[in-house]
Amino acid sequence: MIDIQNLYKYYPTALGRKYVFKDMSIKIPEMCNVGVLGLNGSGKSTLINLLSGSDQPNSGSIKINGSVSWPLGLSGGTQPRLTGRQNAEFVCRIYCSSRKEIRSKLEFIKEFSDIEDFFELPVRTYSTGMRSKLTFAMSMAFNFDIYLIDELTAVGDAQFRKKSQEALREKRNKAYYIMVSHNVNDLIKECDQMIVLHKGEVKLFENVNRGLDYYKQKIKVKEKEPAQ
Amino acid sequence: MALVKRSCLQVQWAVWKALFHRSLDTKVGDHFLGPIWLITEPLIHIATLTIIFTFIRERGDYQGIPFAAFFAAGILPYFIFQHTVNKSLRAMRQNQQLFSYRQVKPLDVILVMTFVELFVYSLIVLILMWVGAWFFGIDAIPHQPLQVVLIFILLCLLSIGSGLFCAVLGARWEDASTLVIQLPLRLLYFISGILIPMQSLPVHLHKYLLWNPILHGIEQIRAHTFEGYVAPGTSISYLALFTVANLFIGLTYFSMNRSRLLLLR
Repeated sequence: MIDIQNLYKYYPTALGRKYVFKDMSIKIPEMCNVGVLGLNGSGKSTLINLLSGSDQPNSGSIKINGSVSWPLGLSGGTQPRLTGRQNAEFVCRIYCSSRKEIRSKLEFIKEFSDIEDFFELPVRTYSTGMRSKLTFAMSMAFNFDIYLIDELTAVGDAQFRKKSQEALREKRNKAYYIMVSHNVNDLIKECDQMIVLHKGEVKLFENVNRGLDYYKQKIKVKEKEPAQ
Repeated sequence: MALVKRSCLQVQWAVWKALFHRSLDTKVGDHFLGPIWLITEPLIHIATLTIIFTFIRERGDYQGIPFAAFFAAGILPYFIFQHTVNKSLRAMRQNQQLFSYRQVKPLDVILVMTFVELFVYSLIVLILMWVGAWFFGIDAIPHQPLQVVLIFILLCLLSIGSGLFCAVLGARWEDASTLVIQLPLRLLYFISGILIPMQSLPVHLHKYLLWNPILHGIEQIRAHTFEGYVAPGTSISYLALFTVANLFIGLTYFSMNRSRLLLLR
């Protein structure tokens, strides 16, 4: 379960504090895949970063039961100068406690990422698709309770996409995920609940379609405004 | 199988270990010349200085200490400081990808960075002492080794304090920090007693030069390494005091700005 209480988050900018969330409270139930919808700049990625712990709220609290993945997205945490193996090793060293475990995880990552001998080459030589394959494989090596997915469905070729969706589904009975996507069809297909972000307002819908209706309505209102 | 629950100390240790391996990987690079260059760079530096000074002074030693050993004792500890400070200016920007893993905090990056410098230069010091003794017959084994180790540790703490400060500067004002930190750092090279020992400097300048804690460190390393070396006015306690104050300021400034260090682009 994720319990966010009275959360404030702003970024200091040249134009003063830009608030992303003001007094936001939300409860996300356990074992329930949640989609996050919102326009660009509405705070989807900030929400994911806050949940992952890679960014900190200015005030308020976030309580999470279970282990959380890092944000899985296109930009993933890899160092371009290091090889795929060295990058994977770094993550394994953080999350694993024994050498044997690290070795087996590395093997898994190499096989799952499907990039063959590029695994031994610096990440800067990878294509965008290969890089995201590697980061996705890294995240699949560990069994988190909650996966945070930031625009991941755009990753890789059709073949890899199928593989990655299967891998995610396999984890479904042990883990759940929070997914940001602009692809509404994906959200409807994969998610049980929906969070809609709009101008600092955050709403959780227990029904995906209801959330979608609300979102569409919000956007329409916004589009009409200049005409009136 | 879910992730094994570990205590916070275990996680902290794992993070440090992972960062340490990663920095060594980055430092050494993907070429076999990497580790060789790491050792030859300071060697060339020392050799160049030795050759130049032998010609200028028309002798090969200072107070009976061979130039090579004299310069090595100054340059190696200075490099630890200089490299840490220089790297910390860019550390936050360059290591942003790491902070997407929640266990890794900005402070860890600076701590491990300094430790890697200490580790590498300690290795170089040991190699040089061995090479010097075996091939050139230079006796550079410290006659008070514990004090030398203490000074090295103090200099590392000083590097951490300054590094923390510079990491924030570099993260907030990327361009200005080059001017404010890197240029004075170059000057520091000349007033830290690396080239000219305390005793050869004009006495009326002593009271200004002695503000510099690194000068204290370097001169004291020499005093505890070479028997009979005189370093007037310098002391370990000044270095220690300065280090504590510096560490306090560095940590405070760093912690005040910790939210600004994340998500830099």
